[in-house]
Amino acid sequence: MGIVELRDVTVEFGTVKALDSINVDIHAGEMFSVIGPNGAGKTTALRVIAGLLNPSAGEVYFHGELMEKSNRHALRRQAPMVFQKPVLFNTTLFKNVAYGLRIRGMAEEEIRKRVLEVLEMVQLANLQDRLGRNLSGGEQRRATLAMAIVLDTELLLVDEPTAYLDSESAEIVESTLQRLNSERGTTTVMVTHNILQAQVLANRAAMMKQGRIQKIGTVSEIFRTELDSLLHEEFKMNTYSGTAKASGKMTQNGMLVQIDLGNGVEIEALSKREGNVTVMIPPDDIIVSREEVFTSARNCLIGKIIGIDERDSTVFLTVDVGLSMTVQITRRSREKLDINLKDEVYVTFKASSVRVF
Amino acid sequence: MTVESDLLQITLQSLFISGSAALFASVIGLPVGLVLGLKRFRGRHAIIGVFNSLLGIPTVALGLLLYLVFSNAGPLGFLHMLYTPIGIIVGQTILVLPIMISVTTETLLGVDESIRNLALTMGADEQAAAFSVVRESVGGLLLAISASFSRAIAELGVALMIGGNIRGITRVLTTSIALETTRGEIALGLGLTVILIVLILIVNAGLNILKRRVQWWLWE
Repeated sequence: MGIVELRDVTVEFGTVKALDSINVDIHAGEMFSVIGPNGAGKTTALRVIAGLLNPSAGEVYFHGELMEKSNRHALRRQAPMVFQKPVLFNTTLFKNVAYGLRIRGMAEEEIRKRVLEVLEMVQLANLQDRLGRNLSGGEQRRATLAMAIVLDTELLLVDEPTAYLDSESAEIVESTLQRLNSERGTTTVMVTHNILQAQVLANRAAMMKQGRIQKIGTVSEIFRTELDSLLHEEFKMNTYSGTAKASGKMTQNGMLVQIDLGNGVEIEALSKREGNVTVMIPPDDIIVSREEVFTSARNCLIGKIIGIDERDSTVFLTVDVGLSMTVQITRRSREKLDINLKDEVYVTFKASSVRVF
Repeated sequence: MTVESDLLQITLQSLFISGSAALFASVIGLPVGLVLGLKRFRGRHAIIGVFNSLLGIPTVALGLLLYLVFSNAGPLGFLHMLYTPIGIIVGQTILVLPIMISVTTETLLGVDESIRNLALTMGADEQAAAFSVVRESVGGLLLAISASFSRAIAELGVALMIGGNIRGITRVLTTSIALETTRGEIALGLGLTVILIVLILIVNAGLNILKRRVQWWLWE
Protein backbone atom coordinates (compact mmCIF):
# COMPACT_ATOMS: atom_id res chain seq x y z
CA MET A 1 0.00 0.00 0.00
CA GLY A 2 1.33 3.42 -0.90
CA ILE A 3 1.63 6.33 1.50
CA VAL A 4 -0.62 8.20 -0.95
CA GLU A 5 -3.00 6.65 -3.43
CA LEU A 6 -4.93 8.49 -6.08
CA ARG A 7 -7.81 6.48 -7.47
CA ASP A 8 -9.51 7.61 -10.68
CA VAL A 9 -9.01 11.22 -9.70
CA THR A 10 -10.59 13.71 -12.04
CA VAL A 11 -10.48 17.47 -11.66
CA GLU A 12 -12.64 19.65 -13.87
CA PHE A 13 -12.48 23.41 -14.19
CA GLY A 14 -15.70 24.17 -16.01
CA THR A 15 -15.53 22.16 -19.20
CA VAL A 16 -11.76 21.62 -18.99
CA LYS A 17 -10.48 18.38 -17.49
CA ALA A 18 -7.27 19.29 -15.68
CA LEU A 19 -6.94 15.71 -14.44
CA ASP A 20 -8.59 12.86 -16.25
CA SER A 21 -9.05 9.78 -14.09
CA ILE A 22 -5.50 9.38 -12.86
CA ASN A 23 -4.25 6.57 -10.65
CA VAL A 24 -0.98 6.88 -8.74
CA ASP A 25 0.57 5.16 -5.72
CA ILE A 26 3.35 7.00 -3.91
CA HIS A 27 5.54 4.61 -1.93
CA ALA A 28 7.00 5.47 1.47
CA GLY A 29 10.52 6.84 1.33
CA GLU A 30 10.68 7.43 -2.40
CA MET A 31 11.44 10.51 -4.45
CA PHE A 32 8.64 10.59 -6.96
CA SER A 33 8.74 12.96 -9.84
CA VAL A 34 5.82 14.13 -11.95
CA ILE A 35 7.07 15.30 -15.30
CA GLY A 36 5.41 16.66 -18.36
CA PRO A 37 4.92 19.79 -20.42
CA ASN A 38 3.08 22.91 -19.25
CA GLY A 39 -0.64 22.35 -18.81
CA ALA A 40 -0.24 18.61 -18.30
CA GLY A 41 -1.96 18.74 -14.90
CA LYS A 42 1.15 18.20 -12.76
CA THR A 43 0.50 21.02 -10.30
CA THR A 44 -3.20 20.17 -10.12
CA ALA A 45 -2.29 16.61 -9.11
CA LEU A 46 0.03 17.95 -6.42
CA ARG A 47 -2.67 20.28 -5.06
CA VAL A 48 -5.09 17.38 -4.87
CA ILE A 49 -2.58 15.36 -2.82
CA ALA A 50 -1.94 18.44 -0.63
CA GLY A 51 -5.67 18.66 0.12
CA LEU A 52 -5.88 22.12 -1.39
CA LEU A 53 -8.14 21.07 -4.23
CA ASN A 54 -11.13 18.75 -4.11
CA PRO A 55 -11.26 16.29 -6.96
CA SER A 56 -14.43 16.40 -9.04
CA ALA A 57 -14.39 12.60 -8.96
CA GLY A 58 -12.22 9.85 -7.54
CA GLU A 59 -10.56 9.28 -4.20
CA VAL A 60 -7.34 10.19 -2.43
CA TYR A 61 -6.03 7.91 0.33
CA PHE A 62 -3.36 8.63 2.94
CA HIS A 63 -2.05 5.42 4.48
CA GLY A 64 -5.28 3.82 3.33
CA GLU A 65 -7.48 6.50 4.91
CA LEU A 66 -9.85 8.20 2.49
CA MET A 67 -9.40 11.97 2.40
CA GLU A 68 -12.74 13.68 2.96
CA LYS A 69 -14.05 16.89 4.44
CA SER A 70 -13.94 15.67 8.03
CA ASN A 71 -10.26 14.64 8.00
CA ARG A 72 -8.88 16.91 5.28
CA HIS A 73 -7.29 19.31 7.78
CA ALA A 74 -5.59 16.51 9.72
CA LEU A 75 -4.30 14.84 6.55
CA ARG A 76 -3.20 18.15 5.07
CA ARG A 77 -0.88 18.57 8.05
CA GLN A 78 0.97 15.47 6.92
CA ALA A 79 1.69 16.78 3.43
CA PRO A 80 3.00 20.35 3.25
CA MET A 81 3.40 21.75 -0.22
CA VAL A 82 6.09 24.10 -1.52
CA PHE A 83 4.57 26.25 -4.24
CA GLN A 84 6.24 27.09 -7.51
CA LYS A 85 5.94 30.80 -6.83
CA PRO A 86 7.49 31.49 -3.44
CA VAL A 87 4.93 32.86 -1.00
CA LEU A 88 5.88 34.24 2.41
CA PHE A 89 4.00 35.95 5.19
CA ASN A 90 4.77 39.60 5.85
CA THR A 91 7.12 38.96 8.75
CA THR A 92 10.66 37.87 9.44
CA LEU A 93 12.18 34.78 7.92
CA PHE A 94 12.37 33.15 11.36
CA LYS A 95 8.67 33.70 12.05
CA ASN A 96 7.74 32.46 8.61
CA VAL A 97 9.60 29.22 9.15
CA ALA A 98 8.24 28.92 12.70
CA TYR A 99 4.62 29.40 11.52
CA GLY A 100 3.71 25.74 11.00
CA LEU A 101 5.27 24.69 14.29
CA ARG A 102 3.44 27.44 16.22
CA ILE A 103 0.17 26.36 14.61
CA ARG A 104 0.92 22.90 15.98
CA GLY A 105 1.43 24.34 19.46
CA MET A 106 5.06 23.34 19.83
CA ALA A 107 7.10 24.81 22.71
CA GLU A 108 9.03 27.97 21.79
CA GLU A 109 12.38 26.48 22.79
CA GLU A 110 11.90 23.50 20.50
CA ILE A 111 10.66 25.78 17.71
CA ARG A 112 13.79 27.91 17.94
CA LYS A 113 16.02 24.85 17.81
CA ARG A 114 14.26 23.31 14.82
CA VAL A 115 13.95 26.54 12.85
CA LEU A 116 17.64 27.36 13.23
CA GLU A 117 18.58 23.82 12.27
CA VAL A 118 16.53 24.01 9.07
CA LEU A 119 17.74 27.52 8.23
CA GLU A 120 21.28 26.18 8.47
CA MET A 121 20.31 23.37 6.12
CA VAL A 122 19.08 25.78 3.44
CA GLN A 123 21.93 28.20 4.19
CA LEU A 124 19.77 31.09 5.35
CA ALA A 125 20.55 31.15 9.08
CA ASN A 126 22.28 34.53 8.80
CA LEU A 127 19.10 36.09 7.38
CA GLN A 128 16.65 34.89 10.05
CA ASP A 129 15.69 38.41 11.19
CA ARG A 130 15.27 39.78 7.68
CA LEU A 131 11.73 40.37 6.41
CA GLY A 132 10.87 37.36 4.28
CA ARG A 133 9.66 39.53 1.43
CA ASN A 134 12.96 41.40 1.33
CA LEU A 135 14.85 38.24 0.45
CA SER A 136 15.97 37.55 -3.11
CA GLY A 137 13.96 35.16 -5.29
CA GLY A 138 16.34 32.27 -4.65
CA GLU A 139 16.39 32.95 -0.92
CA GLN A 140 12.60 33.11 -0.85
CA ARG A 141 12.39 29.74 -2.56
CA ARG A 142 14.78 28.25 0.00
CA ALA A 143 12.74 29.92 2.77
CA THR A 144 9.51 28.33 1.56
CA LEU A 145 11.27 24.98 1.40
CA ALA A 146 12.47 25.56 4.98
CA MET A 147 8.88 26.30 6.07
CA ALA A 148 7.81 22.90 4.84
CA ILE A 149 10.76 20.78 5.93
CA VAL A 150 10.84 22.21 9.45
CA LEU A 151 7.53 20.37 9.98
CA ASP A 152 9.42 17.09 9.58
CA THR A 153 6.49 15.38 7.89
CA GLU A 154 6.58 11.98 6.28
CA LEU A 155 5.56 13.45 2.94
CA LEU A 156 6.75 16.58 1.18
CA LEU A 157 5.20 18.04 -1.98
CA VAL A 158 7.35 20.33 -4.10
CA ASP A 159 6.22 22.18 -7.20
CA GLU A 160 9.02 22.99 -9.64
CA PRO A 161 11.70 23.20 -6.95
CA THR A 162 14.30 25.04 -8.99
CA ALA A 163 12.28 26.99 -11.52
CA TYR A 164 13.81 30.42 -12.18
CA LEU A 165 16.60 29.82 -9.64
CA ASP A 166 20.25 30.67 -10.11
CA SER A 167 22.56 27.68 -10.15
CA GLU A 168 23.74 28.23 -6.55
CA SER A 169 20.21 28.28 -5.11
CA ALA A 170 19.16 25.40 -7.35
CA GLU A 171 22.03 23.31 -6.06
CA ILE A 172 21.14 24.09 -2.43
CA VAL A 173 17.49 23.17 -3.02
CA GLU A 174 18.36 19.94 -4.83
CA SER A 175 20.91 18.85 -2.23
CA THR A 176 18.45 19.68 0.58
CA LEU A 177 15.79 17.50 -1.03
CA GLN A 178 18.29 14.69 -1.49
CA ARG A 179 19.46 14.97 2.12
CA LEU A 180 15.91 14.93 3.44
CA ASN A 181 15.16 11.83 1.47
CA SER A 182 18.31 9.94 2.34
CA GLU A 183 18.74 11.03 5.98
CA ARG A 184 15.15 11.43 7.18
CA GLY A 185 13.48 9.14 4.67
CA THR A 186 11.06 11.91 3.67
CA THR A 187 8.82 10.79 0.85
CA THR A 188 8.93 13.53 -1.75
CA VAL A 189 6.62 14.19 -4.66
CA MET A 190 8.23 16.66 -6.98
CA VAL A 191 6.62 18.29 -9.98
CA THR A 192 9.08 19.38 -12.60
CA HIS A 193 9.37 19.97 -16.27
CA ASN A 194 13.13 19.75 -15.85
CA ILE A 195 13.67 16.23 -17.02
CA LEU A 196 17.31 16.26 -16.03
CA GLN A 197 16.35 17.10 -12.48
CA ALA A 198 13.86 14.25 -12.43
CA GLN A 199 16.55 11.91 -13.66
CA VAL A 200 19.05 13.02 -11.06
CA LEU A 201 16.75 13.23 -8.02
CA ALA A 202 13.85 10.82 -8.42
CA ASN A 203 13.48 7.06 -7.99
CA ARG A 204 10.18 6.83 -9.81
CA ALA A 205 8.34 9.14 -12.11
CA ALA A 206 5.01 9.67 -13.76
CA MET A 207 4.87 11.28 -17.13
CA MET A 208 1.76 13.39 -17.64
CA LYS A 209 0.19 14.90 -20.69
CA GLN A 210 -3.18 16.61 -21.07
CA GLY A 211 -4.36 15.60 -17.61
CA ARG A 212 -3.53 11.94 -18.05
CA ILE A 213 -0.68 9.78 -16.91
CA GLN A 214 1.09 8.50 -20.00
CA LYS A 215 3.64 6.35 -18.24
CA ILE A 216 4.56 5.54 -14.69
CA GLY A 217 7.55 3.60 -13.44
CA THR A 218 11.13 3.85 -12.31
CA VAL A 219 13.00 6.76 -13.74
CA SER A 220 15.24 4.50 -15.79
CA GLU A 221 12.18 2.71 -17.23
CA ILE A 222 10.56 5.99 -18.16
CA PHE A 223 13.71 7.33 -19.68
CA ARG A 224 14.50 4.13 -21.52
CA THR A 225 11.09 3.69 -23.09
CA GLU A 226 9.87 7.23 -23.37
CA LEU A 227 13.12 9.08 -23.80
CA ASP A 228 12.77 9.83 -27.47
CA SER A 229 9.19 11.07 -27.33
CA LEU A 230 9.77 12.76 -24.00
CA LEU A 231 12.88 14.56 -25.02
CA HIS A 232 12.15 15.32 -28.62
CA GLU A 233 8.38 15.75 -28.86
CA GLU A 234 7.74 17.45 -25.55
CA PHE A 235 10.94 19.15 -24.55
CA LYS A 236 12.76 19.30 -27.89
CA MET A 237 15.89 18.36 -25.97
CA ASN A 238 19.06 17.91 -27.97
CA THR A 239 20.56 14.52 -27.09
CA TYR A 240 23.70 13.07 -28.60
CA SER A 241 26.13 10.28 -27.96
CA GLY A 242 29.78 11.12 -28.04
CA THR A 243 33.26 10.52 -26.73
CA ALA A 244 34.63 12.78 -24.02
CA LYS A 245 38.26 13.37 -23.26
CA ALA A 246 39.82 15.69 -20.71
CA SER A 247 40.97 18.94 -22.23
CA GLY A 248 43.27 19.74 -19.33
CA LYS A 249 41.57 23.15 -19.02
CA MET A 250 39.94 24.35 -15.82
CA THR A 251 37.38 27.10 -15.34
CA GLN A 252 36.12 28.53 -12.07
CA ASN A 253 33.10 26.24 -12.44
CA GLY A 254 35.03 23.01 -12.95
CA MET A 255 36.96 20.93 -15.42
CA LEU A 256 36.40 21.19 -19.16
CA VAL A 257 36.08 18.16 -21.38
CA GLN A 258 36.22 17.97 -25.13
CA ILE A 259 33.38 15.91 -26.59
CA ASP A 260 33.43 14.52 -30.08
CA LEU A 261 29.83 14.11 -31.26
CA GLY A 262 30.79 12.73 -34.67
CA ASN A 263 30.37 14.29 -38.12
CA GLY A 264 33.19 16.65 -37.24
CA VAL A 265 31.26 18.30 -34.42
CA GLU A 266 33.23 18.92 -31.25
CA ILE A 267 31.96 20.77 -28.22
CA GLU A 268 33.22 21.63 -24.75
CA ALA A 269 31.38 20.82 -21.53
CA LEU A 270 31.91 21.00 -17.78
CA SER A 271 32.33 17.43 -16.61
CA LYS A 272 34.71 14.92 -15.13
CA ARG A 273 33.46 12.09 -17.32
CA GLU A 274 35.58 10.58 -20.03
CA GLY A 275 34.88 7.95 -22.67
CA ASN A 276 31.39 7.23 -24.05
CA VAL A 277 28.89 9.78 -22.82
CA THR A 278 25.37 10.98 -23.49
CA VAL A 279 25.03 14.70 -23.93
CA MET A 280 21.94 16.88 -23.51
CA ILE A 281 21.73 20.51 -24.54
CA PRO A 282 18.49 22.32 -23.65
CA PRO A 283 17.21 24.21 -26.71
CA ASP A 284 16.49 27.34 -24.66
CA ASP A 285 20.15 27.52 -23.60
CA ILE A 286 21.28 28.03 -27.19
CA ILE A 287 21.64 31.44 -28.79
CA VAL A 288 21.15 31.82 -32.51
CA SER A 289 22.71 34.67 -34.48
CA ARG A 290 23.32 35.78 -38.03
CA GLU A 291 26.95 36.64 -37.34
CA GLU A 292 29.52 34.82 -35.27
CA VAL A 293 29.34 36.26 -31.76
CA PHE A 294 32.38 36.43 -29.51
CA THR A 295 31.29 35.79 -25.95
CA SER A 296 32.50 33.84 -22.95
CA ALA A 297 30.44 30.87 -24.22
CA ARG A 298 32.81 28.13 -25.30
CA ASN A 299 30.74 26.60 -28.05
CA CYS A 300 29.92 28.31 -31.32
CA LEU A 301 28.90 26.26 -34.36
CA ILE A 302 27.83 27.25 -37.84
CA GLY A 303 24.89 25.56 -39.55
CA LYS A 304 21.87 25.83 -41.83
CA ILE A 305 18.23 26.10 -40.82
CA ILE A 306 16.50 22.91 -41.91
CA GLY A 307 13.28 23.17 -39.91
CA ILE A 308 11.04 25.81 -38.33
CA ASP A 309 8.30 24.81 -35.90
CA GLU A 310 6.19 27.71 -34.61
CA ARG A 311 4.16 27.21 -31.44
CA ASP A 312 2.35 30.29 -30.13
CA SER A 313 5.05 32.76 -29.13
CA THR A 314 7.81 30.14 -29.26
CA VAL A 315 9.70 29.00 -32.33
CA PHE A 316 11.82 25.86 -32.50
CA LEU A 317 14.52 26.03 -35.16
CA THR A 318 16.26 22.89 -36.35
CA VAL A 319 19.81 23.72 -37.35
CA ASP A 320 22.10 21.35 -39.22
CA VAL A 321 25.52 21.87 -37.66
CA GLY A 322 26.77 18.49 -38.84
CA LEU A 323 24.18 17.12 -36.45
CA SER A 324 20.61 18.23 -36.10
CA MET A 325 20.30 20.74 -33.24
CA THR A 326 17.06 22.31 -31.97
CA VAL A 327 17.14 25.92 -30.82
CA GLN A 328 14.30 27.63 -29.00
CA ILE A 329 13.71 31.32 -29.68
CA THR A 330 10.77 33.67 -29.44
CA ARG A 331 8.63 34.54 -32.42
CA ARG A 332 9.76 38.12 -32.00
CA SER A 333 13.42 37.09 -32.20
CA ARG A 334 12.72 35.15 -35.36
CA GLU A 335 11.07 38.18 -36.92
CA LYS A 336 13.90 40.44 -35.80
CA LEU A 337 16.58 38.14 -37.18
CA ASP A 338 14.43 37.39 -40.24
CA ILE A 339 15.24 33.69 -40.06
CA ASN A 340 14.03 31.43 -42.84
CA LEU A 341 14.69 27.93 -44.11
CA LYS A 342 18.18 27.32 -45.54
CA ASP A 343 19.59 30.43 -43.89
CA GLU A 344 23.09 30.16 -42.49
CA VAL A 345 23.25 30.89 -38.76
CA TYR A 346 25.56 30.52 -35.78
CA VAL A 347 24.52 28.66 -32.65
CA THR A 348 26.27 29.52 -29.40
CA PHE A 349 26.01 27.88 -25.98
CA LYS A 350 27.99 27.71 -22.78
CA ALA A 351 29.97 24.69 -21.65
CA SER A 352 27.83 24.74 -18.49
CA SER A 353 24.66 24.31 -20.59
CA VAL A 354 25.86 20.92 -21.79
CA ARG A 355 24.71 18.10 -19.48
CA VAL A 356 26.95 15.05 -19.65
CA PHE A 357 25.84 11.58 -18.47
CA MET B 1 -16.42 82.49 26.40
CA THR B 2 -13.12 83.26 24.60
CA VAL B 3 -12.32 82.47 21.00
CA GLU B 4 -9.67 80.01 22.23
CA SER B 5 -12.08 78.09 24.42
CA ASP B 6 -14.64 78.11 21.59
CA LEU B 7 -12.03 76.70 19.22
CA LEU B 8 -11.00 74.04 21.69
CA GLN B 9 -14.61 73.04 22.31
CA ILE B 10 -15.38 72.85 18.58
CA THR B 11 -12.23 70.82 17.89
CA LEU B 12 -12.94 68.39 20.72
CA GLN B 13 -16.57 68.10 19.66
CA SER B 14 -15.48 67.32 16.08
CA LEU B 15 -13.04 64.71 17.32
CA PHE B 16 -15.69 63.16 19.55
CA ILE B 17 -18.44 63.08 16.93
CA SER B 18 -16.37 61.91 13.98
CA GLY B 19 -14.24 59.58 16.13
CA SER B 20 -17.42 57.98 17.44
CA ALA B 21 -18.81 57.67 13.91
CA ALA B 22 -15.59 56.03 12.68
CA LEU B 23 -15.63 53.73 15.72
CA PHE B 24 -19.24 52.63 15.18
CA ALA B 25 -18.61 52.23 11.44
CA SER B 26 -15.60 50.04 12.30
CA VAL B 27 -17.58 47.94 14.77
CA ILE B 28 -20.26 47.30 12.14
CA GLY B 29 -18.22 47.56 8.94
CA LEU B 30 -15.17 45.46 9.77
CA PRO B 31 -17.13 42.25 10.43
CA VAL B 32 -19.29 42.86 7.36
CA GLY B 33 -16.14 43.50 5.27
CA LEU B 34 -14.50 40.39 6.71
CA VAL B 35 -17.48 38.25 5.75
CA LEU B 36 -17.65 39.75 2.26
CA GLY B 37 -13.89 39.45 1.78
CA LEU B 38 -13.40 35.96 3.15
CA LYS B 39 -16.61 34.01 2.65
CA ARG B 40 -17.93 32.85 -0.67
CA PHE B 41 -21.68 32.84 -0.97
CA ARG B 42 -24.38 33.55 -3.50
CA GLY B 43 -25.04 37.25 -3.96
CA ARG B 44 -21.72 38.34 -2.48
CA HIS B 45 -20.66 40.29 -5.55
CA ALA B 46 -24.02 42.05 -5.71
CA ILE B 47 -23.67 43.17 -2.07
CA ILE B 48 -20.09 44.33 -2.69
CA GLY B 49 -21.38 46.28 -5.70
CA VAL B 50 -24.06 48.00 -3.60
CA PHE B 51 -21.55 49.15 -0.99
CA ASN B 52 -19.12 50.27 -3.68
CA SER B 53 -21.79 52.40 -5.32
CA LEU B 54 -22.74 53.93 -1.96
CA LEU B 55 -19.18 55.24 -1.59
CA GLY B 56 -20.01 58.37 -3.49
CA ILE B 57 -23.27 59.26 -1.78
CA PRO B 58 -23.54 63.08 -1.53
CA THR B 59 -23.43 64.16 2.12
CA VAL B 60 -26.14 66.74 1.54
CA ALA B 61 -28.46 64.12 0.08
CA LEU B 62 -27.88 61.83 3.04
CA GLY B 63 -28.28 64.80 5.40
CA LEU B 64 -31.63 65.70 3.86
CA LEU B 65 -32.82 62.10 3.96
CA LEU B 66 -31.88 61.75 7.62
CA TYR B 67 -33.41 65.15 8.39
CA LEU B 68 -36.74 63.85 7.07
CA VAL B 69 -36.37 60.60 9.01
CA PHE B 70 -35.37 62.30 12.30
CA SER B 71 -37.71 65.29 12.11
CA ASN B 72 -40.72 65.24 14.41
CA ALA B 73 -43.01 64.15 11.58
CA GLY B 74 -40.55 61.51 10.40
CA PRO B 75 -40.61 57.80 11.24
CA LEU B 76 -37.83 58.17 13.84
CA GLY B 77 -38.91 61.56 15.13
CA PHE B 78 -39.77 60.06 18.52
CA LEU B 79 -36.01 59.49 19.10
CA HIS B 80 -35.47 63.29 19.19
CA MET B 81 -32.09 62.99 17.50
CA LEU B 82 -32.40 66.04 15.28
CA TYR B 83 -29.99 68.84 16.29
CA THR B 84 -28.11 66.56 18.69
CA PRO B 85 -24.51 65.24 18.55
CA ILE B 86 -25.93 61.71 18.60
CA GLY B 87 -27.88 62.53 15.44
CA ILE B 88 -24.69 63.64 13.67
CA ILE B 89 -22.87 60.52 14.89
CA VAL B 90 -25.62 58.31 13.46
CA GLY B 91 -25.57 60.24 10.19
CA GLN B 92 -21.79 60.13 9.81
CA THR B 93 -21.74 56.45 10.73
CA ILE B 94 -24.15 55.75 7.89
CA LEU B 95 -22.09 57.97 5.59
CA VAL B 96 -18.74 56.24 6.23
CA LEU B 97 -20.02 52.70 6.62
CA PRO B 98 -19.72 51.94 2.86
CA ILE B 99 -16.11 53.17 2.94
CA MET B 100 -15.34 50.92 5.87
CA ILE B 101 -16.97 47.90 4.26
CA SER B 102 -15.69 48.44 0.73
CA VAL B 103 -12.08 49.16 1.67
CA THR B 104 -12.03 46.19 4.07
CA THR B 105 -13.55 43.87 1.46
CA GLU B 106 -11.27 45.01 -1.34
CA THR B 107 -8.21 44.73 0.91
CA LEU B 108 -9.04 41.16 1.81
CA LEU B 109 -9.86 40.26 -1.79
CA GLY B 110 -6.54 41.81 -2.79
CA VAL B 111 -4.54 39.45 -0.61
CA ASP B 112 -3.18 36.72 -2.80
CA GLU B 113 -5.10 33.43 -2.57
CA SER B 114 -1.71 31.82 -2.14
CA ILE B 115 -1.44 33.28 1.40
CA ARG B 116 -4.49 31.29 2.42
CA ASN B 117 -3.15 28.21 0.66
CA LEU B 118 0.23 28.67 2.33
CA ALA B 119 -1.41 28.80 5.76
CA LEU B 120 -3.54 25.73 4.97
CA THR B 121 -0.62 23.68 3.71
CA MET B 122 1.43 24.66 6.74
CA GLY B 123 -1.27 23.08 8.89
CA ALA B 124 -3.67 25.91 9.66
CA ASP B 125 -7.39 25.15 9.83
CA GLU B 126 -9.85 27.32 7.89
CA GLN B 127 -10.17 29.83 10.75
CA ALA B 128 -6.43 30.20 11.22
CA ALA B 129 -5.96 30.51 7.46
CA ALA B 130 -8.58 33.29 7.37
CA PHE B 131 -6.74 34.99 10.23
CA SER B 132 -3.53 34.81 8.18
CA VAL B 133 -5.28 36.66 5.37
CA VAL B 134 -6.54 39.28 7.84
CA ARG B 135 -3.06 39.64 9.32
CA GLU B 136 -1.65 40.33 5.87
CA SER B 137 -4.36 42.98 5.42
CA VAL B 138 -3.71 45.03 8.56
CA GLY B 139 -2.48 48.01 6.54
CA GLY B 140 -5.64 48.06 4.45
CA LEU B 141 -7.93 47.63 7.45
CA LEU B 142 -6.34 50.58 9.21
CA LEU B 143 -6.58 52.51 5.97
CA ALA B 144 -10.33 51.81 6.04
CA ILE B 145 -10.57 53.26 9.56
CA SER B 146 -8.43 56.22 8.58
CA ALA B 147 -10.46 56.94 5.45
CA SER B 148 -13.71 56.63 7.41
CA PHE B 149 -12.55 59.08 10.08
CA SER B 150 -11.22 61.52 7.49
CA ARG B 151 -14.46 61.43 5.52
CA ALA B 152 -16.52 61.90 8.70
CA ILE B 153 -14.57 64.83 10.12
CA ALA B 154 -14.32 66.55 6.74
CA GLU B 155 -17.99 66.29 5.73
CA LEU B 156 -20.37 69.19 6.03
CA GLY B 157 -23.79 68.10 4.75
CA VAL B 158 -24.81 65.70 7.52
CA ALA B 159 -23.30 67.83 10.31
CA LEU B 160 -25.18 70.90 9.08
CA MET B 161 -28.53 69.34 8.30
CA ILE B 162 -28.79 66.96 11.26
CA GLY B 163 -26.77 69.01 13.74
CA GLY B 164 -27.95 72.47 12.80
CA ASN B 165 -24.63 74.09 13.81
CA ILE B 166 -25.77 74.97 17.34
CA ARG B 167 -23.00 76.69 19.24
CA GLY B 168 -21.60 74.56 22.06
CA ILE B 169 -23.74 71.57 21.12
CA THR B 170 -23.54 70.51 17.49
CA ARG B 171 -21.04 72.99 16.10
CA VAL B 172 -18.10 71.16 14.55
CA LEU B 173 -15.10 72.30 12.54
CA THR B 174 -16.71 72.06 9.10
CA THR B 175 -19.91 73.84 10.08
CA SER B 176 -17.82 76.53 11.81
CA ILE B 177 -15.71 77.02 8.71
CA ALA B 178 -18.85 77.43 6.61
CA LEU B 179 -20.36 79.84 9.13
CA GLU B 180 -17.27 82.02 9.55
CA THR B 181 -16.73 82.21 5.79
CA THR B 182 -20.31 83.34 5.17
CA ARG B 183 -19.85 85.91 7.92
CA GLY B 184 -16.78 87.23 6.12
CA GLU B 185 -14.41 86.01 8.85
CA ILE B 186 -12.07 84.56 6.28
CA ALA B 187 -9.02 84.52 8.60
CA LEU B 188 -10.92 82.59 11.27
CA GLY B 189 -12.28 80.24 8.61
CA LEU B 190 -8.75 79.62 7.37
CA GLY B 191 -7.52 79.01 10.92
CA LEU B 192 -10.26 76.42 11.45
CA THR B 193 -9.37 74.81 8.12
CA VAL B 194 -5.74 74.49 9.23
CA ILE B 195 -6.88 72.88 12.48
CA LEU B 196 -9.07 70.46 10.53
CA ILE B 197 -6.28 69.45 8.17
CA VAL B 198 -3.75 69.10 11.01
CA LEU B 199 -6.20 66.92 12.92
CA ILE B 200 -6.64 64.63 9.92
CA LEU B 201 -2.87 64.44 9.41
CA ILE B 202 -2.24 63.64 13.09
CA VAL B 203 -4.86 60.92 13.21
CA ASN B 204 -3.55 59.35 9.98
CA ALA B 205 0.05 59.49 11.18
CA GLY B 206 -1.05 57.88 14.44
CA LEU B 207 -2.82 55.08 12.56
CA ASN B 208 0.29 54.55 10.44
CA ILE B 209 2.40 54.09 13.56
CA LEU B 210 -0.30 51.82 14.94
CA LYS B 211 -0.14 49.74 11.77
CA ARG B 212 3.46 48.70 12.45
CA ARG B 213 2.68 47.98 16.10
CA VAL B 214 -0.36 45.92 15.22
CA GLN B 215 1.57 43.96 12.57
CA TRP B 216 4.32 43.26 15.09
CA TRP B 217 1.81 42.36 17.79
CA LEU B 218 -0.16 40.01 15.55
CA TRP B 219 2.98 37.98 14.92
CA GLU B 220 3.81 37.63 18.62
